[in-house]
This record gives sequence, structure tokens and C-alpha cells, in this order.
Amino acid sequence: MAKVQLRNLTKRYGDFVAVDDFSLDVADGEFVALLGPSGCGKTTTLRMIAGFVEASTGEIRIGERDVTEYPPYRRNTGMVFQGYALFPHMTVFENVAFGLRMRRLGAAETHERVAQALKLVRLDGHVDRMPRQLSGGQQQRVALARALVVQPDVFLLDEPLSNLDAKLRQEVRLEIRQLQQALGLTTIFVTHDQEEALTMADRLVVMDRGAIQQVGSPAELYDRPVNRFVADFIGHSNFFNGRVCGPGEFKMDTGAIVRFDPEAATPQGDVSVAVRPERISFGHSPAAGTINCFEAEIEAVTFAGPRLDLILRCEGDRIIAHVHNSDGNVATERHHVGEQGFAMWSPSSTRLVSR
Amino acid sequence: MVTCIYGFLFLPLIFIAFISVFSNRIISFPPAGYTLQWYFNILSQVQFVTGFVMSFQVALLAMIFGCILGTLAAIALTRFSFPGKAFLNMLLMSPLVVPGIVAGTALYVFYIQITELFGIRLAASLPGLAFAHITITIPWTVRLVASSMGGTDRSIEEAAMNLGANPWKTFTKVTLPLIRPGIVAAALFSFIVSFGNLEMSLFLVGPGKTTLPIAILQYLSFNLDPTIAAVSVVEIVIIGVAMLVTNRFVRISSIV
Ligand SMILES: Nc1ncnc2c1ncn2[C@@H]1O[C@H](COP(=O)(O)OP(=O)(O)OP(=O)(O)O)[C@@H](O)[C@H]1O
Ligand SMILES: [Mg+2]
Repeated sequence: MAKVQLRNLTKRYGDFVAVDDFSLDVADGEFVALLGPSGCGKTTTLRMIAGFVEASTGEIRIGERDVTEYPPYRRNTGMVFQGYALFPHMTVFENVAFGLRMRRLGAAETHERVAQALKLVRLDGHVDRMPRQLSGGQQQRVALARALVVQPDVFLLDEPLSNLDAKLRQEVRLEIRQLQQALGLTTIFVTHDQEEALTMADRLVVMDRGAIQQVGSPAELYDRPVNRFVADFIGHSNFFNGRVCGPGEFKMDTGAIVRFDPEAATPQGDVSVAVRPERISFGHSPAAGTINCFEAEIEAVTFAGPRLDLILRCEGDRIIAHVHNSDGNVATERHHVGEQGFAMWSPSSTRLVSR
Repeated sequence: MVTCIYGFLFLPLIFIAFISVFSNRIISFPPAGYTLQWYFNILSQVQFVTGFVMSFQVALLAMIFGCILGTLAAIALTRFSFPGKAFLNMLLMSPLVVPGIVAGTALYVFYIQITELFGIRLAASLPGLAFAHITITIPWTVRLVASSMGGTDRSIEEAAMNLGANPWKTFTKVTLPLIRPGIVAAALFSFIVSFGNLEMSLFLVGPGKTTLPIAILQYLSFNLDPTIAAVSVVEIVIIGVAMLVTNRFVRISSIV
């Protein structure tokens, strides 16, 4: 395995910029997820690393090699495609052995390594099946084994779980993570599913319209989003517009003052205040010592299993608060539409983000 | 209803087969008796035997060259973009829309010119006929192979390259096996189209260099005995078998 360095990668299609000045260092053995909405350039970035898309400008280094000008077959990356892309005319064994044969390995070693790889993905015993005789989950495992058996420098996955049903997805997600850690695979994983990214990756790269918005650990991105896009894309956030009017003080457009932690980093330019729904509590009287406390009225109540979603009208905005359903069946009856009260949160739950 | 349609389609064929065993010298109804002598008569008519051999050779050549050139063209058209691509596509397809007799006449004039300029005789020769037929086997091959290229997932080829296969290996180990059914179908279809072609060959044949459909036509001008029916039955059987084999590779209904 090896580290990967991407320097100012840009891809233009005519006037359209699909990937814009993308720079990222992935450490040896690190698992990085590229996350962003559809069309933000995730696949294009991954395909530039694999060599299927030529970068308009920029540099790609894998290990110590500058591979920017290399064709795909000389880059030694291991890619898992969204639709698996197994060779339909070859058996499972031949599929997995393909990369080794291209590397001219002897028959004995090929057999041994294929068997090993299939065992790793718990598919030993299916070697003579054709891909069409396998379930989606099994095909997925063949694709993983096929990419891993050649010992690639970097493991590239493009939404590998999107064709699996929800339950299987959970399972394979865990398996890929375990495999990655056990083998110390440098991995770049593309997804538009934030939960997938948050639970699997060491580090997340949030992209929008071709450009990196923020890079950081899952907790970092969740707790300290730098801009409104990240705050809203990772989890959900309530936003209030306004401006900073003093140390730790933010004046909303309605005139009310929200207090935030003056120690926290303050972005430049136009800012908004972002508050996570689970940090907002709703009560009939201001709780003692609460600093941010605003009148609110319940507009809707939605039952969401482990929690209750309250849609509140607060400071002229519609916001969402999550209430934990810890005491069971009475939760829905505790709140009703039209109820008047207060929405409250602490300054440390108040984040300033650039707009 | 369906029975009616099938009856309508197959009745002439059955009727031809029926006539081919009449013992009357001139086709007439009802038959005076039944015989297989007309089938033996085919072999004693030299133009049918040489016509069959000629048609077979022409069809084989048209199939081989049409498939090679057509497959290459199909790959170029589906995998690469280059200036004039739309024009090339149109050009390759055009022999299908020009009436065969027009194209045949044009080629005849062209061959005569070549003969005058270079002294090479193409009219009424095997290469001349084969070349003419290649112009119709290419478009069929392009269509068939392009549609099977279109049906293959590009990421499968990318997977091969990702695993270290260079473009040639990717083509031979992955692309070619994936489009093979299309190529086989194209080959058989080309053979059928060439073997049964009449219009295009009309002006391109000569004494002793005649294809089977034209030999049949010529025989018909002077005779009206059931030999014609017998020859037709033989040709129908050959083409029918080829169709059935083709159908194992692609459903013919999906391409015509
Ligand atoms: N060959 C191409 N020509 C023109 N535009 C392209 C081409 N390939 C991709 N694009 C554009 O580049 C943008 C990024 O595409 P990309 O496939 O990288 O998105 P993505 O982030 O992977 O989205 P998704 O989550 O839907 O897979 C899209 O707007 C797409 O339309
Ligand atoms: Mg994508």
C-alpha cells in the first residue's frame, strides 16, 4: 500500500468544471470517503485517480510515483465499480485470477492467491460459478476479491454498496471496513450516503459543485462544519441569518441576540448561525441558566422511532428540534400542534458558519 | 388469426415443395403422379451446380471480409469519436437504402471503367461479385456488432484495464468474447444475405460465372418444369438452416 497525493486536480468538460482544484493527501493505510450530492464530481475524481479520465490540470502521485500521465493499466490501483463490472464470460476463479494473469504469475501462485482472496471475502466454494449465478452480495464480494488480489497501491470504491438492500449494506459496510483495517489498505471511497461515510471513514472530504468544502474526521465535520453546505449536508442543521455584533454575540435578522462560544473559530465574510436539532430542547418555561431561549410554537409533530421531531416556528423561521423518545409510549402525547413554549440551546451548540 | 398469417406465409413454401415432386413435365394441376426426378435433374443441369459453387464462394468471401471490416468499423463508431463519424456511419449504411439493382448497375459501370483504366477484369468475376456483396454485408455487420457493443457495459473493459490489461489484452480477453455472439450472428446473416442476393448480382454475372439465384432466373426463362421448384426447395433449406443457427446467437426479430 502507498500514500496518495492529489495536487490541484481539475477536470473541465468544455466550459463546465466537473472537478475544481482538488488537492488531498491520503496517508498510507488511511480510509478516506468522498462525500457530496449527485453530480458534485466524486466519480470524476476517482476515475482520474484510476486513469480513466484524463485530468485537465494537476498532478496525481501514488506512493513515490507521479502517475498523472500513466495509462490505467500501469497505475496499480484496485477499483470496485458501482455495478461490479465482473467479466460475465468468466468463472469466479477466472475473474479473480485475471489481474494475476495479466501480471504473468505462475499457475501455482495464482491458485494460491485466488483461494486466499476468496477466503478473505468468504466466497471459497463458489469458484466455478459464473457471475450471473451469484446473488448481488456475492458478486460484490467477487469484485472486492478481484481488486484486492493484485495487491493494489490504492483501493478505489465507487458507491460499491448502492445496489445492495439495506440490511446487506450494513453488513458489507462493516466487512469492508474490517478488511481495510486488517490489510492496512489505503482506500478512497465514493458515496453520497453520509451515514456510510460517517461510519466507515477515517476522514471525510465533503464536495459540492466540483470543489472541496471541508476535510476532516467525521466528528470534526459534524461538530465544526465550516460552512452552511457542510452543516446541512452532514446531519441536519437549523440556520439563522444575521451578523456578529460583539464577542460571542450574534444579532439575528429579527433583532434577537444569539450567544455563541467566543473561543470558537469565526469564519470570515457573511455568516449564519447553525444549530443541530438534537441540541435544541423545547419547554414551557425557560430552564434555569439557559442563555439562548426563544419563544416558539409547535407547528407539527412527527414520530421518528427513537425520537420525536418537533417542527417549531421560532424567530420567524421554521426549525426542527429532536426530542428523545426515552420514556416510551407517552412521547407523542406529550406534545401537540399549537403548543406554545420556548426553544432553548447552549452557546456551545451554536456554530457560526459561512453562508 | 395467427394461424392465418402463418398459413399465408408458409403456404407458398409448402406449395413449392409440393410442386417439386410432381411428375408433369410442365407444371400443371392436378399432378399426374409423383417423382423425385427433378431433384436429380438439378445435378444434371450444369448451371445450377456451378451457380451453387459460385454463390457459396461469393457468400463466403463476402462474409469473411464483411465481418472483419464491419467489426472494425463498428468498434470505431461505438468507442471513439472522430471528425466525420456521423458521415462514415451514413456511408456504411447507405447500401441498405439504395435499391440493389441501382447499386449493381453503378458497380457494373465502375468495373468497366476499372477494366478500361487498368486492364483488370472485375465484371463477371468472383472478386467483382464478392466486392459487390461486401458492400451489403458490411452494413449488416456494423449494425449487429455495434448493437452488441452498445449492449456491453463499458466498465467491464475498464475493470480489465484496471487489473493491468493493456488495450490489446482488454480487446482480446474481454471485448471480443463479449461481442462474439454479435459477430457470429453477423457472419451467418451476411452469408444468408449474400447467398440469396439477386438484384445486385444481375449485371455482374457472366457466362459460366453465375450465382445460383440468377441461374434459377435464367432457367425459368426457358423452362417451366418442377426443377425450379426443386432448386428453390434446396435453397430455402440452406437459408432456413442458416437462419436457425443464427437465431441461436441473436434473436433475428431484434435486428431486422
Ligand atoms: N464525459 C462527460 N462530459 C461532460 N460532462 C460530464 C462528463 N462526465 C461527467 N460529467 C459531469 O461532471 C459532473 C460530475 O460528475 P460525476 O459523475 O463525477 O458526479 P458524482 O459526484 O459521481 O455524482 P453521482 O453521485 O450522481 O454519481 C456532472 O455534472 C456530470 O454531468
Ligand atoms: Mg458517481
